[in-house]
Amino acid sequence: MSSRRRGGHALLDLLLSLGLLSTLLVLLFGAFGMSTRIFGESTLRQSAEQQLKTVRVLLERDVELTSFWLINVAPRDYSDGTARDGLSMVGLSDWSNTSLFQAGTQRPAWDRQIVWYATEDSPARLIRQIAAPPVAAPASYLNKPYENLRDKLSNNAPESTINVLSTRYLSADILEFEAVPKYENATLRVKLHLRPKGNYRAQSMEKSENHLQVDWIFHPKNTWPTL
Amino acid sequence: MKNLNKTPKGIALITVMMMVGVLIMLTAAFFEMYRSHFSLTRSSIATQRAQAGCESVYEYVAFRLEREKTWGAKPFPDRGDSKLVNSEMTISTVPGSHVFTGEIESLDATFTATIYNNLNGGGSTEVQNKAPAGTAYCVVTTNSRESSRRAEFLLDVAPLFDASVLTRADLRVDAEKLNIRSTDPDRNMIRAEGDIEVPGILEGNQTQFLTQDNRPDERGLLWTKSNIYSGGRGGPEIVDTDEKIGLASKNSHGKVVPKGDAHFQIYDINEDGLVIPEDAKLVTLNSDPVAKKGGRWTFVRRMGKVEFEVDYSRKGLFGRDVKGETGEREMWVDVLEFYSDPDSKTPTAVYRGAQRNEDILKTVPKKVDGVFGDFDIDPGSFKVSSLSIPEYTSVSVEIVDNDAKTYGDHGEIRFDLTKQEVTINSDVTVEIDGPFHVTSETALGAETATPPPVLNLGYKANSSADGGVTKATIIAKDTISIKDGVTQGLGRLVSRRGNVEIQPKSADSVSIDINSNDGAGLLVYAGRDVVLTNPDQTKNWKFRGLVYARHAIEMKGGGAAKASFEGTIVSLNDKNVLGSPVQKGINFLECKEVEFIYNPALLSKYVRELPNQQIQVQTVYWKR
Repeated sequence: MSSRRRGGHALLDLLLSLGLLSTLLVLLFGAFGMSTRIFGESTLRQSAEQQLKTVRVLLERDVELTSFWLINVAPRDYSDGTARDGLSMVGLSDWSNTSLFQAGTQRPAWDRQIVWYATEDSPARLIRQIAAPPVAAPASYLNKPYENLRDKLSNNAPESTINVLSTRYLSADILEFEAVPKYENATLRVKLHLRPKGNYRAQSMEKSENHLQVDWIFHPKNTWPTL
Repeated sequence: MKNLNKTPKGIALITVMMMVGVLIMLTAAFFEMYRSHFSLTRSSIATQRAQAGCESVYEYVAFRLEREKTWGAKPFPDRGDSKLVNSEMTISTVPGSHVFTGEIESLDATFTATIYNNLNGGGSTEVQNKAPAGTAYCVVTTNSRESSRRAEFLLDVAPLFDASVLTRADLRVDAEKLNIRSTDPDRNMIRAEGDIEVPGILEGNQTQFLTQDNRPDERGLLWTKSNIYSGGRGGPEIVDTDEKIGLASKNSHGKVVPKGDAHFQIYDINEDGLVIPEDAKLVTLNSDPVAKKGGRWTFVRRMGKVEFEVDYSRKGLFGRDVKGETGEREMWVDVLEFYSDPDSKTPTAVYRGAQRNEDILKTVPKKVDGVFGDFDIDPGSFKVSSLSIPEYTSVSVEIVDNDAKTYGDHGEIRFDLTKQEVTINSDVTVEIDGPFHVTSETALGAETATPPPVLNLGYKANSSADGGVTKATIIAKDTISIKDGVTQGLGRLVSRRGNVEIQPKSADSVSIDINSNDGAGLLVYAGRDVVLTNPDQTKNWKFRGLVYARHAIEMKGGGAAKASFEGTIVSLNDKNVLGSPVQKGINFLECKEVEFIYNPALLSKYVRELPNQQIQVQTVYWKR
């Protein structure tokens, strides 16, 4: 009698243990799955933020060192209506070279055009190029916004664009890149929308994605006349 | 049985241990990931703070130099500790060096900077090596936590006025065409705080920014904090949408910017800020008891009672003796009336030229003689022994020598009764403790109209004078008004608290080189309003110089085909100035074509630096 009672108790214990273990395993794998997803998305976001920081550091430097009046913007819209603008600004090949400053005024004798643009595809690539177009006489340095900028923005073969010295791909996750010169106060407003995609989600079979949108105002400091 | 009891406990323990282990691993991974993320974020914030620190030092240096032009020109003599409360910035200079250091609490940043100031030129070799004459060089390194930033910048002195037209109120150009040009390599601007209305900027090329050789000028900027309107037959049309702004920009070749929000400042200059030659002789009216407080001088032909003597051109013929005419007659006489109160109907004094006789000769007829022939009047013999104006019973008429009423020890101010002209010696500064009005008037019943008066400021080529030309200056406490006459020559008209109302003759009427920035032009400064009118409506009108009004400005072209203004036109719209008769801001009226030419070189001849060595600086370059 007592051994039968003990046998029934053991079965109950086993079932209970198995149930508890199953519950724990479900919870564990659920937590693990969620953690993996969160980890993945966090990594995705950090990667996007890192991209954004790189873009900001470079763009801020380029804009800060240029002249507002020599900025050119080629507004471009992709087929989905998102902006894929082109932005050009004058620069110097070597800021430490005193011969690249005008003899009389001491101002920079601009010899480079720095071009930023997002390609017209999806997702777009954000490209930074340095170009050295010829200086039109009688000027001895670049003293005008980059002419025909739109024609110099290549989606397929950026490196082969005329006068381009270097090309750098800064992001391949661009959804939108918009540049607006603000003549009201001689600043440049840049809107950037990144949408990096991660791994496939188990439930939906869609890739996880992260949206990161920023709206920056930059102040070109080599602007004269100032407003 | 014992084993059966132990097994499930073991599984549970292992399971819990596994779960705890996995959770610890996950937590550790998260922490590690976020630690690096936060570290990057912190570093990014520190970098931005260091960058902001460099910019703060730039702002401080600009601020300091604008108020103390020689700061950093020589090694600092002491620590000179100071603290800017608003920005929580503490600055100390290092004695015997050009170095200054400091801390910016709000940015958690410290900085070390070196300044070499050569704005005044003539700095030491050490300074000149870093900063060419007319510039100030600064290099700054800022640290915020683990981040560091370095920046270098060069500054120079900016012009006080940076546009051809500047106003704190509205600008209205009522014309068919407006061309905006500039001699400055960088600037071609019009700026206002109020509304701007220009001709047909939406319709075509009625408003254009052009270079001196008539090419489109892409430097052009039409900028206001308020609205821009395109004038036209259908009334003004606001330029507000992106499409309209784009069209206006395209039509004008420049940038059209309504609703600007940058800091916009028009320097508030007073008389001390104007370039008045210090070696000019000062002439006042103080020695004249009648006119010492200024007033109105009016050239007029009045009915007067004249006591005269005159001989005939021949004394007689064939023994017939003819005596000259004497007597007292009422006749029209040209006089100069002075009114101590410009609005008064009765003059304070009346002047008549002693030799003046053209006006009254015809009143005394020749002697008709059928036998001996007519006896004509000898003009040279005419003498007025006394003159009174019946209209003014209490005012006596003063007969003045040389047909001119003069002021000053050597007649530096001369009211010529023959020519209705006021002449100021080019080497004097006339100071009037009141108003200075010059008018002409044709009395009711007079046969001929009195011509409008002329204010001749004159000018004289003088190689030793600044700009190679000496020019007269009139400084009046109240209004300067020659609004019915013509102002000619070069010089300066300054009204401390009143208006300046003149009709300046076209600048190309002067004989010195009008393309020179040194000598040509007119300075007009008014404590209240300026009203400039084209004196000759049939001709093109060219004005060169600076027009500065503490309130409003009105320019009347009188229907001229072309009115050109070179220099700068500034309306301060000072709220404390009351009783202004003209519309606020700047108004250009009655012109077919208006042209503005910004010329900063010309301005430097009229405006000194700001008081107390204040200046405005601008960036030459910024690099890091």
